[in-house]
Amino acid sequence: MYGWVGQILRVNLTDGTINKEILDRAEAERFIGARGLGTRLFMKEVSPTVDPLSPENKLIFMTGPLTGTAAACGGRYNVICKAPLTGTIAASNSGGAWGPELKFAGYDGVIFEGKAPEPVYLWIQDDEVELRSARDVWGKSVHETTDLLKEVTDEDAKVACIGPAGENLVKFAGILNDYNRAAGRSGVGAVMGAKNLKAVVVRGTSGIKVADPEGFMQVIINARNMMKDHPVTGTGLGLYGTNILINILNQHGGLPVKNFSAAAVFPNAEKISGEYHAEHNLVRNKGCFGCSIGCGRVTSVPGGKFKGFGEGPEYEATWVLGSNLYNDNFEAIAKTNFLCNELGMDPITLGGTIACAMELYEKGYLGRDVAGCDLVWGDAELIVELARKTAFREGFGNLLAEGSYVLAETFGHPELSMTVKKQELPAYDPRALQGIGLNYATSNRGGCHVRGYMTSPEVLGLPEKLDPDTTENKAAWTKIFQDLTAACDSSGTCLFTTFALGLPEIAAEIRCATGIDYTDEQILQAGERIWNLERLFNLQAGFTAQDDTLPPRLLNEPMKGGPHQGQVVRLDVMLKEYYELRGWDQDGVPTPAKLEELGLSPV
Amino acid sequence: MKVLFFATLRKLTGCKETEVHGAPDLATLLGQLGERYGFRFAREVFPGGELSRDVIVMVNGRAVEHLGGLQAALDEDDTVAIFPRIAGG
Repeated sequence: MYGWVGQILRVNLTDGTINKEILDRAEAERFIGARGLGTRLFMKEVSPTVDPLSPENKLIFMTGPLTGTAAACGGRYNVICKAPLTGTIAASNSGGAWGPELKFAGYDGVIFEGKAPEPVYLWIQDDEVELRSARDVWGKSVHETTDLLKEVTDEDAKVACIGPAGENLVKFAGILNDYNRAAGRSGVGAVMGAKNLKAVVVRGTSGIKVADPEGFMQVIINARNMMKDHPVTGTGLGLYGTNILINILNQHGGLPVKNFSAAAVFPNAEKISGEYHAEHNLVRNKGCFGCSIGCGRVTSVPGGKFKGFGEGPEYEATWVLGSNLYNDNFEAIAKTNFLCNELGMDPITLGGTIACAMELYEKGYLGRDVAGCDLVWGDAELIVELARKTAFREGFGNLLAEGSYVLAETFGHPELSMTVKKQELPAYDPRALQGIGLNYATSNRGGCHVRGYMTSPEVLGLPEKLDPDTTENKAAWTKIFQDLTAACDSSGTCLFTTFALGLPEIAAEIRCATGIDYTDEQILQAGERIWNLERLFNLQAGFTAQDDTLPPRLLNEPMKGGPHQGQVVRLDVMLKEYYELRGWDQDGVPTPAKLEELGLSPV
Repeated sequence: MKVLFFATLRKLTGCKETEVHGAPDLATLLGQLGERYGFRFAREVFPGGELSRDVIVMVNGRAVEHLGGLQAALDEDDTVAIFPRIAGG
């Protein structure tokens, strides 16, 4: 095969057997790879009603046909399972160099099933694959684990592992690879921990064949030139990272503050901005495999109580640990983010959960007797400490480790959990940009911005400027963004390429790599097929149209100030149109005609 | 009115914000800023008298595309924010 390697590994952790299987070419063609193909394989083997932390849940690491090739930013892989945080399908996406290394070793993906009787890690060295005891690294941080496992295997090996948060089944534990890159959301690290699987270590020395090397190089040169010449991918992201968004979302009036309870304008935004980061704490930027953007931040806090060194924080971590907690201490945000990387947790859900706790405390629903401390907005030292306690499930951290929905429900106020399908919302108050609200409500993995990044047209003017306050055409734009994103994620390339590249460029890369004569429309339709497949999983798992909603605050409480004062999300209008455009009935179920068009089986 | 600059534009202006008076619309404001900060700023933001596609301009948090572009009316108590075309996620 071209693009794809053509082989996957199946590892039964219960009995320790390891098998190599031929990749189903027909399925690969229809679902591309990574997110799409991984979900397809998962759904063929696992019941949607499976307990996410049981041995019956499977954990699939899957690359795409462009992963590890010379394609623009082709360093991505996905982790697929049923999510412990949400109960939805989870497809958690990461960069770095781990995914390419897996393909260099000769595998498109690895399927883990069962549960190891004691902690293990998988060591893949080209054709040689073995399970080894992980007793010496169990309990260690991500960074310690990575160092130790490289030491006992190969210094050039790439390590994907969990930290203490995953071992302790924190519901939003992530899987970290190459030290600081994360398959961060939905709790895929807890599933790995539940399987007693500490790490997957891989060293590969082969190459990847593409069908049309000359054509491939031409489309890549074109794509990379487009990215170089684009102000976002050629200049802005490399200089300032994603955190450049703090100031623009603040000016727009869409930067959530205090668990979305206040006007979405943070008076001290400048102190946590990308500009501040670049001026005070940035060591250098960094890119993943094959990346010409370099949005990653290598960051130092050289002294003081938040002293540390690591990567990030990204915009999402900065917002959620910053304005959302009314915290303007950038060094504390960086330190908390370092801890999230080292302990293996998703900072978005962590920050959203702490914000929920602080609002419960402020309103008198949660007292010091339970929390063990005063949960005061903006207490920088407390935020750092709560991150550590959460990873180790220590004291009140044991409750935070369940996420904000369980926390808020425990105290009788689930409406204060700012989640969709129990996953915490990202950094855009949808009362200030209507389309992102529709995307949140319909995201197949719960609250998520990178399923259909409507911020791009509504705030940033890419590819064109839409009015953020209107609902017109938002359903159509959301659908296209979601489908294109599903295709991009499944290809094994980075979503950030799409600031500069469009469907024609992505389709050309896939075409030349695989040798399959996809039209642009077929690639977009593959994205739609993947979206509907994920939807089918969630429906089979028990989700209904009632779950395609937003926290009541965003639907009923008008924005308290700023440029979008008085706005609520007018979801009902957009959702009805969205279902129609998707070819779903009024209950949000894909119609037989739509499923037939996409070649999918009904629920 | 208050004018705010962000990201790389700060390197061209040497400041994060400034005050401008007597600009009834965006075109007039950008013209005045071009005179104040020189050729490179003007080329970046207002090349050939047109609003660059590589900048984002907001008046009181509202993108100027929805306010009439260069004809957007300005008041003395407005806040105008100017960004290079940036994005993240």
